Amino acid sequence: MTFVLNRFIQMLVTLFLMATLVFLAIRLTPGDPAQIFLGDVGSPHQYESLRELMGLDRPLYVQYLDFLQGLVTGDLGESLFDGQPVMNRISHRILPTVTLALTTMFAVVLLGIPLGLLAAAAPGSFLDVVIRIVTYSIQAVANFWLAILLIMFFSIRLQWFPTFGQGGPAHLVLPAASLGIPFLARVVRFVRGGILEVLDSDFVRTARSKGLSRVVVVTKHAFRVTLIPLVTDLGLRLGWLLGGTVIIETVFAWPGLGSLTVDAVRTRDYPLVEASVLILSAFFLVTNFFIDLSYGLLDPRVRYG
Amino acid sequence: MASAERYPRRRFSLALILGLVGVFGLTLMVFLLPIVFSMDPFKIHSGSYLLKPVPFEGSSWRHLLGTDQLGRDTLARLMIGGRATLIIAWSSVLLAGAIGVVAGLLAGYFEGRIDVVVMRIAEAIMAFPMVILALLLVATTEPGPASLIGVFTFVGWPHFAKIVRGGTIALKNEEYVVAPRALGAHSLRVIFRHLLPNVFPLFAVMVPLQISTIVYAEAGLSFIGVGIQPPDPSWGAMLSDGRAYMLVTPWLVTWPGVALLITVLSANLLGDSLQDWLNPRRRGI
Repeated sequence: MTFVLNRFIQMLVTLFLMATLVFLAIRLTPGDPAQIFLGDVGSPHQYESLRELMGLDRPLYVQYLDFLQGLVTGDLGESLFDGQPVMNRISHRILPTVTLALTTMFAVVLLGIPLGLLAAAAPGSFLDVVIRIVTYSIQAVANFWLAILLIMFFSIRLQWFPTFGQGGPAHLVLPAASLGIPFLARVVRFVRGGILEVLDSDFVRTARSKGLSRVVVVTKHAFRVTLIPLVTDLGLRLGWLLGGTVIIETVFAWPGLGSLTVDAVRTRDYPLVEASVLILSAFFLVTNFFIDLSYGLLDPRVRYG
Repeated sequence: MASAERYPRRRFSLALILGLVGVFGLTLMVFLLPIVFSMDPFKIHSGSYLLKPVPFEGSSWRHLLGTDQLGRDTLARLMIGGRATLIIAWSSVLLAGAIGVVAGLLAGYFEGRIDVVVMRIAEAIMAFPMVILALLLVATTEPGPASLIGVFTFVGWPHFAKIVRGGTIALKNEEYVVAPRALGAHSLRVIFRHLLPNVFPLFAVMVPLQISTIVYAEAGLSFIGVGIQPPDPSWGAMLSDGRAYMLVTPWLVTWPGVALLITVLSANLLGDSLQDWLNPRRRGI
């Protein structure tokens, strides 16, 4: 229990530091947000009233206290464009992004683990070399380029899947594939490498010498040991996945938090940028907190003392 | 047999050679080709819109890789865009590396309060998904190469600091560090004369992998229109613009993607094989 509490407090501290960074990013980077928002067209009067509207005319510590109070009460400010609370615009954007990210994650895990085990079957063989080269190259493919290629073939030429928007499961296929294919290559390599590492160890040799078959040893013994590093890697890769989501959502006009963030950055709607960046990052942080807790379930040797 | 496997010799792998050739070949290419052939990425060749690359119908030897919707030469834009990308990537990695190495050395050597402060800030930065933090910072500055370098330096230094701090803590009780300290050398002298050369490989190995991350992130930001601004060419923006014409000529969305793939791939190869070189017990690529 102490472990859980410790990790929880650590997470809150990190969250607080992240929020502070978001707050400072807008105010302390070179360039005045009000000036950047107005561009070359604003008059001095408009500039002053915009600063007042954004609350930038107040001392920094007053703004900061106000910001923190807003965080605690769930009030993340109003959009510079329509004056509506940003939470109104964000709330119905969360589900599409979570759907896209989690579908991709599950598909990658479901395909990646068996493929990784297969890839570990004959290390050093010709097939193994081919698999290693192919997965290594696919890992380096930019997902937004992949998205374009997939649209060209599967959407325009073959007309199998729709190109834009959100609807049935068919709309999910291409965005999830663009995000997932480079990720899948990574998971396959990860599982393969982990299994081969463990196959070298003493307990595997013991199990084999007891007469257990290679398949049983790999799936029952070796695989369990590679599970924890795999889950850790998946958790860290979620950040990469969310970063990818931001771009992929824009390509497919997916109405999620990612495309909202990009719109907010383009129009320089600062309160909206702050809020959506914070929520995306907090999602990443909280998921990794739960992953840390899951180690005890995956490996009985881990005790929360 | 078993011992040979456990302690393999360091050797030049094919991956290392490919990575070196790729990274330095590409850098030379994007800097030299535009000068040698006096390429102009902005010149509009009226009448030659959306030309296909050379062996195809209607192509011209004057535009080896074809032209875009305004009649600008694709090869020229690819080279100048790549040059911008590599300048941004190298400058921000070297800046982030310099900051990270100094921060990591100080944090690891002195520990205590300075360590807590530096590492907490570093952890908070690393707790963000990288592209999302970059997006936030890009929103608050005037877009362009200078602010991209600033952004990538800011998101990059903690990675160097963390590794170098770990290395410093591991090495600081070695004799060659303890001895000068006992002889009364100034802390800064011990850090920069004795520790720095020994943590340097940790820094060097990370450089190619960070380059690859930044090239990728910069292309992503330019793709969604918040990175390098038009009319300046960039691979990301070329991909984004090419989408509108992919039915006419799919080549416009092919070249920048391939260029991006080769760059990221060779930087990864170089980084991974350097890591194997430093740590021969690691399983290779």
